[in-house]
Amino acid sequence: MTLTVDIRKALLRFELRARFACPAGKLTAMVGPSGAGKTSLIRLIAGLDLPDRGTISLDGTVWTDSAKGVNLPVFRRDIGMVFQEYTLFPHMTVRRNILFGAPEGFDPEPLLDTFRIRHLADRKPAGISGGERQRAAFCQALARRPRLLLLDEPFSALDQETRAFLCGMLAELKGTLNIPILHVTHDLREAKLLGDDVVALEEGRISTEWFRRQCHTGDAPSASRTSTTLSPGESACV
Amino acid sequence: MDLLQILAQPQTMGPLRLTIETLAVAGTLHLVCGVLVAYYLTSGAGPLRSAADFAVTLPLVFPPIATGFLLLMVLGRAGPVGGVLPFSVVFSFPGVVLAAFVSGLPLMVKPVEAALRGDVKRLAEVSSVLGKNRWQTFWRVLLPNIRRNVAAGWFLALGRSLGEVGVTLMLGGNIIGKTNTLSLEIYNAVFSGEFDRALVLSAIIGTFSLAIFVALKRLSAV
Repeated sequence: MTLTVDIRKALLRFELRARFACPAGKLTAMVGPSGAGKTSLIRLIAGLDLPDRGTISLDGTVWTDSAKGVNLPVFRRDIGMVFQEYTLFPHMTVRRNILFGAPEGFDPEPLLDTFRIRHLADRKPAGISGGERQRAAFCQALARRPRLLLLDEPFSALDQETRAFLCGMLAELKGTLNIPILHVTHDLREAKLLGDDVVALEEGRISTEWFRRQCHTGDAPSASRTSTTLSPGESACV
Repeated sequence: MDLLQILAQPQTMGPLRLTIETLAVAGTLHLVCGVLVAYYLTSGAGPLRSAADFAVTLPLVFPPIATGFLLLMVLGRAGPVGGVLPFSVVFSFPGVVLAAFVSGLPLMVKPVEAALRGDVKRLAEVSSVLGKNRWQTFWRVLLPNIRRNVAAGWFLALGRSLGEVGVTLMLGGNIIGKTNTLSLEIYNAVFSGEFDRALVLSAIIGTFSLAIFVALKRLSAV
């Protein structure tokens, strides 16, 4: 199962042009500075926005094809998505939030245990911390049994401990889920730590140059220590 | 004449009953149509939506008497719509209800529209990502999260409908015993020199208004 993306979209300051693939069982980290078009790209893949032209497909199923006028609605795309902000439904308990997109008869208890939020299951989002909410958001996205997991800077507002816990969970999950995972972040260290492939985005373009620049300026101290295979614009890109 | 005597008079009870019936029907219409119209206005763009927005907002900025006159021209027996309807809207109970509905609708729609354009948009996106279609999202996510705005808009619309005079005068005709609501009856009482009755009628409307005010205060305090 591979996510294939080849799209263009005019944004305010530049045109977003992205052409890459995310294979199943791997985490593709998309990294770049703020305003590079990362969130726009992930929204296009989710179907929340429409590209000007291009195609998006998952495992041969075309989700978007501007030339043929194909655009599969968001709710039919079988996506799990975790946003930067906490986006649990405030009127539902954590358990009901998790079950919201889950298939009939889904048992949320194992997920609640894995993410250590069983004791919060009957509380509403307003009564739990930000880190706990984001853990619940991960459960909500995974309970859907998605065919593609999209993560839009899910760790950016978290404390160090929760961040480390969720990073560990994600590293574990990517093998067992066996679906493509696209993780958008502006943190190069995080991208290199988690990503099997790293794609750098700068001003809407996939950029190997930006990536090399960042590595050489020392902004990514873990770069030399990570064993992650880095392949911006190479193995991750079609 | 004492208070109870005035209250027991058919010229007091009749308008009171008519006003309650009008509010019951118009209030139900506000609740259903107001939310749906607000949802329609926020779910896209285009000339049709702009026209609908204009039509809904018009009674807020256009003098009620002129709004009533326009509706009378359209819905009267010789009007383009009234001429083809199998029943008469003007100078009847439906006319009074329509007047209350039209005048209160913008106050119902605008708060709900503002709420739907706010943070709940993000929740709607999450819901669609989680596999829910537009109607499922509307019922299960949007409506529960804008319920306070809906209630606030509804109370405001009821208050406006309760005090409505201009449109009701044109569409209802202020026919004694048939289309004279409480607000119109205050005018009638003053016009015929029955100031005690006008005072009692005003007190009844004042009590309704106070109840609405208290409800709104409680909503904003929650």
